[in-house]
Amino acid sequence: MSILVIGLSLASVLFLLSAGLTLIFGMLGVINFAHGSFYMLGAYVGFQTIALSGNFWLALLVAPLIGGLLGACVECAALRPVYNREPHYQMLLTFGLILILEEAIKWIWGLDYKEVGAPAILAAPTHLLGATVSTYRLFIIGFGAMVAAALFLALDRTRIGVVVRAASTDPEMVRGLGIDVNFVRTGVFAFGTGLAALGGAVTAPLFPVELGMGFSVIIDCFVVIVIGGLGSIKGAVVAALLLGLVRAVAYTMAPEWVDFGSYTLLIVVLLTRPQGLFGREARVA
Amino acid sequence: MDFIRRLVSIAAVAGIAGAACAYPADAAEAPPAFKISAIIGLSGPLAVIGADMRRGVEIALEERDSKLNGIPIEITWDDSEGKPQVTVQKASQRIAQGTSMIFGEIGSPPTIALSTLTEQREVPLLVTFAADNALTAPGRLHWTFRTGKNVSSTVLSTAGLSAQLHVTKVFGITPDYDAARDSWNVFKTYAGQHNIAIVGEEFHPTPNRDFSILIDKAIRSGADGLFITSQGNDAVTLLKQGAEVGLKDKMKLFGGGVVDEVIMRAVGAAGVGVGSTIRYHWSEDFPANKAFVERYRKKFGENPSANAGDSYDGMRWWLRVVENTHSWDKKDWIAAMAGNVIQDSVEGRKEMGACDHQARQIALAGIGIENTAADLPKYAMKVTAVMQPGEIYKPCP
Repeated sequence: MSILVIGLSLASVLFLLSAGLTLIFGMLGVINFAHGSFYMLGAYVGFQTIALSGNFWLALLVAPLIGGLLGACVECAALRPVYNREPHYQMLLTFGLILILEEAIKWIWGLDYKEVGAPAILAAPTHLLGATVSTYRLFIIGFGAMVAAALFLALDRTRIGVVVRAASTDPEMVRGLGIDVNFVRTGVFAFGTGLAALGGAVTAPLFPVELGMGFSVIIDCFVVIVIGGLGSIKGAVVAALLLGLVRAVAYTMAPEWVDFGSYTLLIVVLLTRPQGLFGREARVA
Repeated sequence: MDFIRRLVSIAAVAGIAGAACAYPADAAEAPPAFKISAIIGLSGPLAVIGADMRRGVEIALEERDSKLNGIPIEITWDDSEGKPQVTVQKASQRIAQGTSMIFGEIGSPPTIALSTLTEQREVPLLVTFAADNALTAPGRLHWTFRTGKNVSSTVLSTAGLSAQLHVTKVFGITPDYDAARDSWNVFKTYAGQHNIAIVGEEFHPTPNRDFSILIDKAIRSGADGLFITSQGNDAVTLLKQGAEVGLKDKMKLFGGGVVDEVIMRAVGAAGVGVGSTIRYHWSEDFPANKAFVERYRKKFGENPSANAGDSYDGMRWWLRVVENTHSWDKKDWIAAMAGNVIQDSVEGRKEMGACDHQARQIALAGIGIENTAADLPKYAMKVTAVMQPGEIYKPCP
């Protein structure tokens, strides 16, 4: 039972971390290398909010707001001028953003670790079907599922979702309908970075909050979105579940081989389905 | 006139001979500066350790006005990023620029890579942090000195801690690399000799982002003690994730350097009661330590961490030895440091092993505590035991 809970919680964490990255790529075609830095920013903002207010739940509101706001500024000021250039301009830009964000966080919060604990209501373990499991992990599973459902609904069942998908497919036509495509793009980027920051805040009680925490998650994020298919939210959900459960099993059987298990899964998917489980096959001329 | 000329000549010869006696015949000419190349992790997760090490070294240099036998000390700081290849690349550049010595690195793998280079290029290497036994294996490295603790002494101190905590059944969680596995093996040998049963062991990749299944296995094993070799970020992750399921209430947690005052700031209440060896503690009751702590507080407004204290003490010791040689020949420094004894280090007497270049020194063990005093950090370490060098180091033959 505890292995299932742990596997699902790992999957939920992986999904929360990679959802923003895959959303931004799917809608804007931008590979945001600074995604991990927004995640780190979310954790630090979460820490600060809790330190000032003592309220963990407030941190889950403030962190994505700050992350989203900063993402919007970055999109307007830096990304927008390079949309029509070669993709490596965007990569270099987001890579530079990593360095800027890390220095800014170092300047504001210093080098020390920051302590973020689970809220008191979720701090004690839960006894479930004869197993002792972490209540906070159960919350993470529910939270991840809620975010996934909200994303599906927003993209598939709302007018905003229709506009966003249309703007990613044919921006000129959408512009011709009187919709401000630039505003849509800013919104999508802000939403993606906000999700990254939310991931940082919600997982802060599980991991060290320190400089460099962004680097440690970005590889996991890329593994998830490559397995799931670049730009596919559905793919990110399935890949996160697959990877989370593979890791849980690997930790149970041979923990020192857990990374081997994860990357083997990645290689198998790339060999059998290079576009990822739910990715669209590239058209070849 | 001839007599006077002869007298002047004799006086001149005598003067030259006297000067030659005062300074060894093989002493090289004084360089314009004594160059220290510090190559440590200054970014990413290692930045918190590197920054403290830098502070400790800065105090050691300030104490002597950054001078050594009349020439200025010049120190350069390079970020190794904690990677062996970057460390070696930056060290090679500094050696090409004529560095007098190298200080670093933090982790064992980059330090071992660095020691191979300094051995080839005959440049002294001062190690205060990396603990791998291989760095000070007897007769192996001529140009490397470690003033900090090694793996064996740390584990034997931890073993002492296990007796203090009265554990009888121990589960081990260890990172999957040589130095950590060595630590666990040393502990297992100790356990076998002291009626402590080993009820399970798990090895994890490092860095590791999830310990929950390993923690679950430890709980199911029926152990009353968990030996943790994981350090830094891994230790923080393990303790935080252990707190999720009340791990501390189910068994005693202890390990070599698993918590210190830096880690306690990261884990808070999850570290209270966790037993650990302590590399150095600001509260140690030695005159040199009191002077250092006072100076450190004045400059940085807080107590020095273990990393700062270790670095300060190692650099202070090394510079004093070099100064006392009155020589600019690196070989003289090496000869003087091997077997050297410092009586007034921040931890009292330390002796540099002539056979292995490993400092023999006291070791501390303690537990994480929650302070109530307003002028102290909320979560910190309390020293509960002091092991003497004879208990934890083998003597040189």
